[in-house]
Amino acid sequence: MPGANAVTTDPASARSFVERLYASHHAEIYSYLARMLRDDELAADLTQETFVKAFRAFDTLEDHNRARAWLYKIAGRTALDELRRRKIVRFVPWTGESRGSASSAEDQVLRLRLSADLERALLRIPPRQRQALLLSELHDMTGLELADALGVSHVAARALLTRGRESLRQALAAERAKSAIEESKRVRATAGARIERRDDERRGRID
Amino acid sequence: MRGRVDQHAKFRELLAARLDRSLTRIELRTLNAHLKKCLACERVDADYRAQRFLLHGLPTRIPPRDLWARTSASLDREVARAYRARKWGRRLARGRRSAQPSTALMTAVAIIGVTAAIVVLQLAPAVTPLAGVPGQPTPLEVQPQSLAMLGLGPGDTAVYSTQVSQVCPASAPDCVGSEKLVRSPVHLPTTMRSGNVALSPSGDQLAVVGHLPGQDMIAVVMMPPDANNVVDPNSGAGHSAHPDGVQNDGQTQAPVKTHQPDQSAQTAAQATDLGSGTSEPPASAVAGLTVLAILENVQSAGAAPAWSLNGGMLAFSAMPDDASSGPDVYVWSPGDDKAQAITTDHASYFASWSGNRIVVSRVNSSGRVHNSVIDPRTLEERAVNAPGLWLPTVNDQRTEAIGWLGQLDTTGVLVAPRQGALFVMDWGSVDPFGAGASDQPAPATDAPTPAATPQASQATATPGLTPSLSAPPQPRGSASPAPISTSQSATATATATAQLSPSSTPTATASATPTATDDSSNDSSVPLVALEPDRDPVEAPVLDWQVHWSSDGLVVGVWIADSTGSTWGRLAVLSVDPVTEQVATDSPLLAMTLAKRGFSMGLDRVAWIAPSDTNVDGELRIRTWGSDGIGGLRLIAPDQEDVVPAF
Repeated sequence: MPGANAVTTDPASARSFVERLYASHHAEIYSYLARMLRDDELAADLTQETFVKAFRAFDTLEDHNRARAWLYKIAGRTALDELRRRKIVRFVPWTGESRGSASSAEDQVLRLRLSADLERALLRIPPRQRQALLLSELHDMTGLELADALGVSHVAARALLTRGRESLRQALAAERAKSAIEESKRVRATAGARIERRDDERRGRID
Repeated sequence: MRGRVDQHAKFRELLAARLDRSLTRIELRTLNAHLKKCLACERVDADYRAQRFLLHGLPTRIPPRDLWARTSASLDREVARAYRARKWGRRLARGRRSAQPSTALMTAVAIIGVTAAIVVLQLAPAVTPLAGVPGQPTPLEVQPQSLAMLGLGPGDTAVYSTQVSQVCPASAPDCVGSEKLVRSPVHLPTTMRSGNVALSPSGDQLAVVGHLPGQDMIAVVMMPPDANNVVDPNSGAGHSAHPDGVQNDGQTQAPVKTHQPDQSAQTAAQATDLGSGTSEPPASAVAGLTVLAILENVQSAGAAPAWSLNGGMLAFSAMPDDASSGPDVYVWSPGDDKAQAITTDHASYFASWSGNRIVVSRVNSSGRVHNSVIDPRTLEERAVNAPGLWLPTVNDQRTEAIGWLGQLDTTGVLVAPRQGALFVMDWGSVDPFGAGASDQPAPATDAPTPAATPQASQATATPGLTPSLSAPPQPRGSASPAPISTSQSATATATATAQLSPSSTPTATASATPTATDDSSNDSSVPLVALEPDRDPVEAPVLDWQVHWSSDGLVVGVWIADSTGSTWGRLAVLSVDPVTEQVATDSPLLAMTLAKRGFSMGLDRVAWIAPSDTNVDGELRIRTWGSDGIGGLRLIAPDQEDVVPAF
């Protein structure tokens, strides 16, 4: 993988190639990073960084037909570096740009709540497993392409995926249990307040 | 010691693997045999399938619009760097060929390097690194500004205040702030849900529109003089109740005073207190901030309440809750017991302040929108000779306004947007009280125009409202905008059409107001610029919106609901080019984002409630901008169902 000081030998061709890559893949790369990090602003920064790194690493791309997996590999490593550097797990909800989406703001908010458990659970599993799951399930990668993007062997990629599914199952169960407890607390608090208010009103009428 | 081996682990692995590849015949046979007798593994199988379904249902992430601009700029820098590197590479290569360094020179350089390293190492302990928390971004200092929040929840209503003086940098604009909130209990009806709030410029009063079942209440909360009770917002502790109704700060509570709106063209001078119309106990019964109910038993109408530029007056519009008549504009000043109506036509909608004067929107009998500016002190009213934007929001500098243009539905007592979009107008050139403005009185609003052809069937929808086409001109300085009062007959037409020169906004106008024609009473030369050029006002009309300008007039926040009355909508914060005075929609300070109704703009910041994973009611976000760049903050909002921020 190229370092910060890597310099491509043919800047013009590299730039043109990266532009084409951007046009074809920037949305999915952004989406991948946003899901990996669960932070839209950071995902945008790292998407930008991914394409800059791709420019620097242009000379290392041997087979242009495998550019997509190569790009994902750069993006994945960029995300892992960031996670390692910051050692953070930030529970930032998605509040990204929503123009162009057909659903209403109310629907979006509802969907956010429903998927919140899953997104939190995803953040709880090891990043490499998360990468494998996201690439396989949401970015339609299988077999060699997945292995390429993860930078591991085909067998290792499959193992990561299998372990990722189990980790996510357990994390999701834990998140749901937590949400259920919080919801029941909220319901109890609301009901208690209602009863208190009704009693107050009754007392007011008697007085 | 050997741990217990999970006998089911290998089957779970097979179940997971089955989703990604074909199992071998032996694996499949083994797995199926196990599943027949193991309920736990069957559940795991179901979980894996559900998990896949859920993953596929995750919301789509859409990259920000400026991503390419940013990436392209970075690539340009990289290209330049690459060329520079190549150039230096060639020079170095030439240099190496022409002059190989001597051994003596290399030795000298090495000695100098080692000496320098020793010196640096000896000095190093004297240099104290900047204090910082690992993993935490260095905060940005911003000008301190008070932020108030009204929190309403079952059985607990409070005002929270804090000072925002530090935010997180752009690299982590949504970090969680540690600001402490001053919690002051406030006695408002427990069934109340907040509508809009507005903090006076001095921060002394918080105007609140509260929604109660079947009616609204407009109240003013007297804010605490200082932050003398800083608490953790999550602790639930705050000002303690005092049995004799004395606040922590020693203020004696004033009772909630009530006022019902005039039902029959009651003038400001005639307005009377009709007594308490609420079943809630007075504020004096409980400890908390003083609350003054300045208008009750109403339905709020028009734009959200707002304070005048000097903070000396609050303005809003409202109508009786039984809809027996249309809305009028009310004002309230500190020291008043109740709000006073400054219009009596029952067809006036508060739009915004234009400095210390009030912009009022009305619809005349021919269905046309027209705006006036009223001086609330003298009640002098002057017409705005400009395209009839509905509810224009004027910035403090009185240079720009953003209003709505399109078709209005006037079948009910309240005029409601039906189809249209938001437009920016050069207010400076049309402000009737502005520099160079002629002393033009408000005209008779019912003058017929060629395009004013009410549809007969709809005109009969509001019997008893007869258009008055011969209303005399409004005399200047009149205390009562009498001629306008007859324009309640505006409802005689079911569809009001705001006017616009088609040439000024070709796309939006053509589709939003297909029947619009030039109105001689309006100055069609005043250009209107669509705020969202891409929005189709027919397919995706703006029906419910809020616009707030920053106090320097250089930034505007626009919130748009998908449908009228929605709690959630989309908020964008846009800057205004100080030279061209154009709103820059292509480089927003805050790209369109989900936000709850009721955001607030400060000098260089915006506060809004964003969706949150941990709180179904959302969380408070702040975004700042300035010479140090973009900053932001998430505040742990009080655990209330309904929180509305106000700068």
